[in-house]
Amino acid sequence: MKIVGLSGAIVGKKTRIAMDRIVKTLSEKYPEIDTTLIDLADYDVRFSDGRNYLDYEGDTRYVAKKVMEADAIIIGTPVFQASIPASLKNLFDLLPVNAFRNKVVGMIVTAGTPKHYLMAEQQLKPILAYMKAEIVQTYVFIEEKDFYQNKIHNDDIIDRIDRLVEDAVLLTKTYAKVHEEKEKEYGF
Amino acid sequence: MIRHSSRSPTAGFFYAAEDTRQALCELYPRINEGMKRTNGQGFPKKLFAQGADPHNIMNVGSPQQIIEKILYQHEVFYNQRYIVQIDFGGMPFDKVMKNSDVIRSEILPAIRKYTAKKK
Repeated sequence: MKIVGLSGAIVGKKTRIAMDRIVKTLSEKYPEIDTTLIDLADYDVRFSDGRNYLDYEGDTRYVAKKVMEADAIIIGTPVFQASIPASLKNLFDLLPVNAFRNKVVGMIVTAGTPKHYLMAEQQLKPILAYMKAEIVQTYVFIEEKDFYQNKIHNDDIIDRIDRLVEDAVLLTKTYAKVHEEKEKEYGF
Repeated sequence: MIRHSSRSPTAGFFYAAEDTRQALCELYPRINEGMKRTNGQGFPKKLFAQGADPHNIMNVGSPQQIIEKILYQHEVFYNQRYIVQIDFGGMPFDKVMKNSDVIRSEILPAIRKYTAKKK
């Protein structure tokens, strides 16, 4: 099983800190899973111009291909102007419409204020649903006050991150089994 | 009416075999692999399983099923041409030849018989 942790912004620290925790939990609890962290801040991803994702080169191709090859993706996103950052939306735009078919997608949101706690519900989930993702319905919302000196300060958040990982892995395994069983019936 | 002025052909994947199951079995790995190489994503089995349905654009099944689908499309679109793609995804040469042969010996005569009758 391949899981990609995706940190969706090119500025800021909180999302990356949360994603590091995701990767830590994944590699400690599920060492058999092939885990990759992609922080968009580390890559020079081009704006989508409508090409098939395999026709890009360099970082753009690498990032899109990694996401496409994953069985599950955990997306970390900050809140920018009451929505997701452009860098994350651009990644979605680089991918085909059915990109998340048969993929489980979990979400973790970092924000400066609790006032945007429905952002994932109203902005991110519709995109993921359109792209056919099997969404892990419960996401983790982390506020400014849960961080202290570049660390997650709130045990509650750690618990919820660990549960998100657990849910994502369980759902991925379950869907794989369901599809396997259904596909057996076709006989081709 | 568009129906009477349609000059567009219908087109799609094509594979004829003894029966639906055999046709789906022999075509699926080709389509799946071909799609992976051209688009990066394979062809979902769930969608492929609908390929033999008259409403699906793919033409896969027994020669009789294929004849019926071509005639169905002809009735809906009044198309004068139909384009098939047989060799996608590395279909072996003998299978391609066998399909051309089925088109020549079974499918075309049946279609011609039907379209001639209408005049």
